[in-house]
Amino acid sequence: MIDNTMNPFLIFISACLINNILLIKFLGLCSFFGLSSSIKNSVGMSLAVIFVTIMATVVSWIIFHLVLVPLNLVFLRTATFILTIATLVQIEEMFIKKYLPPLYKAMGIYLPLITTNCAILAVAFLNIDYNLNLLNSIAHGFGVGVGYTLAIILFAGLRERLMTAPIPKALQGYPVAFFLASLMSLAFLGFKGLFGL
Amino acid sequence: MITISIILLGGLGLAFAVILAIVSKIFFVEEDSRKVAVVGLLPGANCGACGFGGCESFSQAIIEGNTQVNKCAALDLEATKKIGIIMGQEVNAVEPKVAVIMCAGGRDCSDRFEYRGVETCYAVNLVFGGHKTCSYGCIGFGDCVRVCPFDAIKYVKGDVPVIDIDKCTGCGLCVKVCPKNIIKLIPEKYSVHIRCASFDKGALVRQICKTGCISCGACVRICPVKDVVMENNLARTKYDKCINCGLCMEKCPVNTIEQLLEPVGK
Repeated sequence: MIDNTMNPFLIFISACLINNILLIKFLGLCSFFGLSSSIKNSVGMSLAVIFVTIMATVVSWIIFHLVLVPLNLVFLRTATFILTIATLVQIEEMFIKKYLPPLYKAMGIYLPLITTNCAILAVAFLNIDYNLNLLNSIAHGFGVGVGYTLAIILFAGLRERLMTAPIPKALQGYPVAFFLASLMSLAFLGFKGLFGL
Repeated sequence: MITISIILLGGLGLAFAVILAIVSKIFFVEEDSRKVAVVGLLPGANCGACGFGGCESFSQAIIEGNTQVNKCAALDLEATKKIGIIMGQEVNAVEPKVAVIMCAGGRDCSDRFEYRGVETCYAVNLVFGGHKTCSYGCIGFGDCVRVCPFDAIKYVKGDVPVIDIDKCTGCGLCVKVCPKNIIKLIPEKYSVHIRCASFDKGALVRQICKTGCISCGACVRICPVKDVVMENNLARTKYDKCINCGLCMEKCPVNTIEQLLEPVGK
């Protein structure tokens, strides 16, 4: 369990490997399957997710601790976080469209989908549940982003190999990808206990 | 409490809206005005029959000159011409086609066993080629209905689906999805169709289906332009010289031949 007494590095490792958002917590799976058909796409998506998680962490932490808690409006956190994340993603989309058109093309529909990616909303909520301070929150958000990157790139690499594998017709495409994901999830369970976490 | 909540959420929304408005001005990207116009003219169903991801990427390819406008089967003549004007080039329109299901069996075709399983034609077809006695005909579980992006195919389970030729754009997705391969794209100008796909002998067809072709050859003899041929126990229109006279339809003893002028059951 992550808490405020741990140093940022441990929080980072914990979020990245031990509590991997995709393979252990099973959050944000839509983009995990949607964008993992090639490594190129998954790299783009990962960069976008890292950027948005860190931004969302900072902004949601500030809004929660400096606005919602003093005003005693903690129950509004879901609405405000969604609003915040949606805005951030919009800004990011415009930025990418302007400066990185090939990436924009590659990500297509999935970029707006980060808006509703539960991994990102989960980071904002977990920061509150773990009662982390701002620095630790950023470490946690970054760890989740890197964990996402690690999982989706490994997964995309394996799926690229699956393209040439002789797979029974009933399992072609997503079914075999689900099997693969569950095996990867089992493998990630092996990180439990690393650094005594 | 409620007032503060409303003010807070409203205020946040307003603040974010202002930020977004400013940012959108800073990061404004000028899109090719031709592309916007072309996207507006395309059907917008993203059926993918052109081979691109959707109407947007197709229009991008048109602008870049990487493809032909007539790759889009769903485009009507007028829109094709307009895109030609936008692009400043002569465009040859494709001959408009509609999908026709070459089977009229449905409830007139008997079942050989009761099927209780996944209700898609694809799944039924995996079980000994389907539950219909006729191994060529329509299974009637509506895979084509579900795949149609233009909402042009309607059906009641067990009947042969009905294609609305006004809505059908000839994109061909149903042709690909039909496990029996009995949907054909036919030029729109032909309206008389021999709706049977069975290569069984006439006597057998007569036993299992009320509207199947019994290969009597009446249509071949009556056809004034010799456009109907008899091949493998099945009469077939060549769609070459057909003049839609409908004589074959009147002559057909089992009503296999039908004239599809407008959607039935509308």
